Amino acid sequence: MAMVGKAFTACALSASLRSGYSSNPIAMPDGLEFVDVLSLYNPVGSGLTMRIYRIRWLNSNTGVAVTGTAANRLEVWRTDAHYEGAAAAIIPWVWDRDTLPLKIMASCNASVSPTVRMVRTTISTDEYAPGAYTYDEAEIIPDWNVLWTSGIDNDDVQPLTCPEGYGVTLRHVIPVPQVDTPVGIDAWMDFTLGET
Amino acid sequence: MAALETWRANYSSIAIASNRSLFSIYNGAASATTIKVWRIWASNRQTASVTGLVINVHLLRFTAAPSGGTAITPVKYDSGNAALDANVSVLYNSTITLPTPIVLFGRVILSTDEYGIGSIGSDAWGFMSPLGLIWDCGYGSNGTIQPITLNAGEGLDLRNVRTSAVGTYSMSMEFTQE
Repeated sequence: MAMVGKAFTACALSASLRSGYSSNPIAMPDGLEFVDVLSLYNPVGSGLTMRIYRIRWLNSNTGVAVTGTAANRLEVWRTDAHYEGAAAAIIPWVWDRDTLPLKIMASCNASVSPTVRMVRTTISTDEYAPGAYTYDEAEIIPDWNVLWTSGIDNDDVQPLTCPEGYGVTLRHVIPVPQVDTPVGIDAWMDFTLGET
Repeated sequence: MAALETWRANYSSIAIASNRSLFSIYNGAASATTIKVWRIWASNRQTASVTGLVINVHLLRFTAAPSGGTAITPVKYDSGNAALDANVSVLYNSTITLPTPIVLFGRVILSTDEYGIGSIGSDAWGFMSPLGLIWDCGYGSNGTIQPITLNAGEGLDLRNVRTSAVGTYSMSMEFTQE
């Protein structure tokens, strides 16, 4: 479908997967921890509909040697509540016209209430090196790390649509104890806000 | 034009077995809707060391109602979507009787070996979501090419046809209802 409303990109650069957060990582009952790296939320009363067309990420573990781990993953969840967090950078697609409405919440390290998982993928937290080519090096190629895309190139398929009271979060999930990941990932969400 | 109500079905514990239906969707005979399957993804979940094998996943149309298996609940792309028709079922490891001759849309060859963070190979490529896309006919064609369309009483089976019982996969299917 054609994009509806004003378009924005929410951005988290070098988002830590581990340290420096007041409320995260949060322990989970099955021996996992998670951090909500980047989250959007459309609160009740906004009068807007939020549509997410693309979620992408890149490994930004640059120049800091870490021992990566398997079985850690990125997940996209729909949410129905959103608290706290640090404000995420917002880039309006029409730079000199649009600003994000104050009521829309775009956060790094938010506390959210997830409802359903939309997709997940396994990632490497290893650092990449310019002279190598393994799993982590593949994670710096933009086209290969689009975790979600819908509604852009097919009129019949919906984007990830959030009426009032719903949101989306990009969550990093990792077993405990996790490796030290002093640097994390870059993440972006491309979305629109429309009145319908 | 408004987009069609869209769902995604995900299942992350697909144990590979010989001639097993790994993932299927069936639009029951009593359904009042048409299901269109737009995109399917597959990625290896095998992290423990195993000696992997080649699996050969066939995409097959079928008409007989499946039985047994594990039900998978699809998730809406729009929270405001109506409920999925109750006659539509998404299943893992169900028993499906295929027609004779089979109706084969395509096939894909995958590795069940474990992946390693410090290596790259066919067992790991599927983690990059665009590279794990194993079916998207019709998706970007602006209506020129049909997606796999399931009328009432029709289904799509993703079946491993090789004699392999190694590995775990994750699969994801995007479909619309109209």
